[in-house]
Amino acid sequence: MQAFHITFSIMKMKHRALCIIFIFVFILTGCKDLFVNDAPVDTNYADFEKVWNEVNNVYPMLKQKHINWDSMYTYYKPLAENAKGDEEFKIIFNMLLDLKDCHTTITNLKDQEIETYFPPRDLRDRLTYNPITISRYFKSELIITAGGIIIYGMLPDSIGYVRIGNFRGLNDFDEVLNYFKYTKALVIDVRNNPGGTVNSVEFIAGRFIDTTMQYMKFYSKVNYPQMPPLIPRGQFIYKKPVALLINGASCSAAEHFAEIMKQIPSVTAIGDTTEGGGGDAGYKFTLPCGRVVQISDVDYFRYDGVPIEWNGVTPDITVLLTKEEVDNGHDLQLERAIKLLEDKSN
Amino acid sequence: MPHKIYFIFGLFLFAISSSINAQESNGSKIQFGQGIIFRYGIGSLALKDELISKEKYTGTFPVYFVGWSGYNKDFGLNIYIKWENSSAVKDYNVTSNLSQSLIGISFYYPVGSISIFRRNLFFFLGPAAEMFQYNQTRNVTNYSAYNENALAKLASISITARAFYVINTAFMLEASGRLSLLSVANKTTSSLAGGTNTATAVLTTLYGFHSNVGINIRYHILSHITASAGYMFDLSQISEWDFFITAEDEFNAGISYNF
Repeated sequence: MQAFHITFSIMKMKHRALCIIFIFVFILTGCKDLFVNDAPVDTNYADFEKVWNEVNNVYPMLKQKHINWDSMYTYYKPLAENAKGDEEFKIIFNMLLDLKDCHTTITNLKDQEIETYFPPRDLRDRLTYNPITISRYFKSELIITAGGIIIYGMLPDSIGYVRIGNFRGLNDFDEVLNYFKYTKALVIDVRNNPGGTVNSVEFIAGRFIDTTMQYMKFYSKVNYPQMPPLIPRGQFIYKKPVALLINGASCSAAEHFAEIMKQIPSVTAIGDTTEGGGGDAGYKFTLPCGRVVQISDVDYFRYDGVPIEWNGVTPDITVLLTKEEVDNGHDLQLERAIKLLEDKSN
Repeated sequence: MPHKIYFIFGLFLFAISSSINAQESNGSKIQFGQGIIFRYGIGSLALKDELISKEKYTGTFPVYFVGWSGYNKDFGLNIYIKWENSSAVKDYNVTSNLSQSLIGISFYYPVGSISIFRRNLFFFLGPAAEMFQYNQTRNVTNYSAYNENALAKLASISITARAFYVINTAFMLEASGRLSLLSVANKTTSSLAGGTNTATAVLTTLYGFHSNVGINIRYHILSHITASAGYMFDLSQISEWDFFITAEDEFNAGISYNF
């Protein structure tokens, strides 16, 4: 230590200063790695094998989508074997993305489901539904019920309007339909409806059909339960003209509802082709790393035999709508529906 | 560790190989680095935001600093902005886009001086107010509809310190440090496309802070112009929600003009 003092004292000041800087720098550089630690080693390859096998065994649309799942294995396997850190998540995410299925999800670190894919029609139309623009067509305030899922009101000329936000927990719908019992016509709006349960679809549709209807056909690799037929139910069957509003962000159970309602002669679907989510959110499995993956285990078909997946449900009357038109106060799809119902009821 | 000892020893050997005596300060008017300051640095950063990933992301990229500094006999004032961004912060082959910025104002009051090797070491202490912002977007896919983004902000009241050691009329050694004491923190995260969660809280140093410590040597080129070269270590951390930390080694060079 004494030698250190003597040595230091005979140095030029400039050199002392430089020494101090270098010592300081040398000690501190690399401190960032002391503060920010590496993550513990994660399971990599086993996650990849689990995902590939589950999709191979359960996912029903590989052939329909012309996805060569065996070649996916060949491509991703060496990447997965050498994956480190977040590379594993990147591989699995992109593998699931290759299914291009809006029902495919993986959980993040917060156990929230992340959708891996959004169909182009969904991305295009998700901003074209604007409740503020819609409210301008009503003279009185709209009524909200079912926790905000159902919004309804009376349009001019005794035309009812009901918006169904999703197909879950719709027990209030019967009360809503009672409100419209004596209307001349009804608009049902399922635009930007992300889906829900088929039970809710049957619950609502049963108020509009006057005879038993078979549910849509499907294909599944697993033991998927057959849906019971749709049966008429409720105090009355609504037989007046109905305009059903659909768009590219109407998905899954909303597409089932649209396809079922289109079979009813008094119903006219207006808007644009739905999203094309013909699977379901039914099959989940847990990876060794703890993340949960969800894939479809069923492939539903329209009544004309065309798969809903990717093809969607087409409207009877196509009316396109842009965000700019909506933001400028014009919901062209709703306006077309009102005009159609006015003409029909007159 | 043994390599560090050899390096330090080698450094001393280099230092004492030059001849002679330390120079005395001539006691002339002290010109601290003041005026408009432009500084360019290379930062080596390590980052972990456990909302997005438990992995450590690292990268090296330019750091820019612009400020104004002024001193009179009563106090010093420093206003500054620092920013950096990179699209190549990585965990193996997974990249993230990162941007960080810092805007602040600090006041320095002289608290005394001591004599070391017959020269004065001046100390300044004071408060500072800063806004630190961080934004990370992880790129796990080229699919543009999928967005994995984390944003954090810290508006802080800090304590700041500076020390100046006048070597001679040309050279001066400077050291600085800053630590936030109380912060309003906001962490906005989006791990679902189109969905966001935001949390805001008042945090003490234990739960959220931005700090830095640095040292540099300043050379008076002309009466109004000085140049500096130095090192700064930056550390920011928020532990109130998902653990977030960034630490950065920065080597920088700058120039100041006192008008």
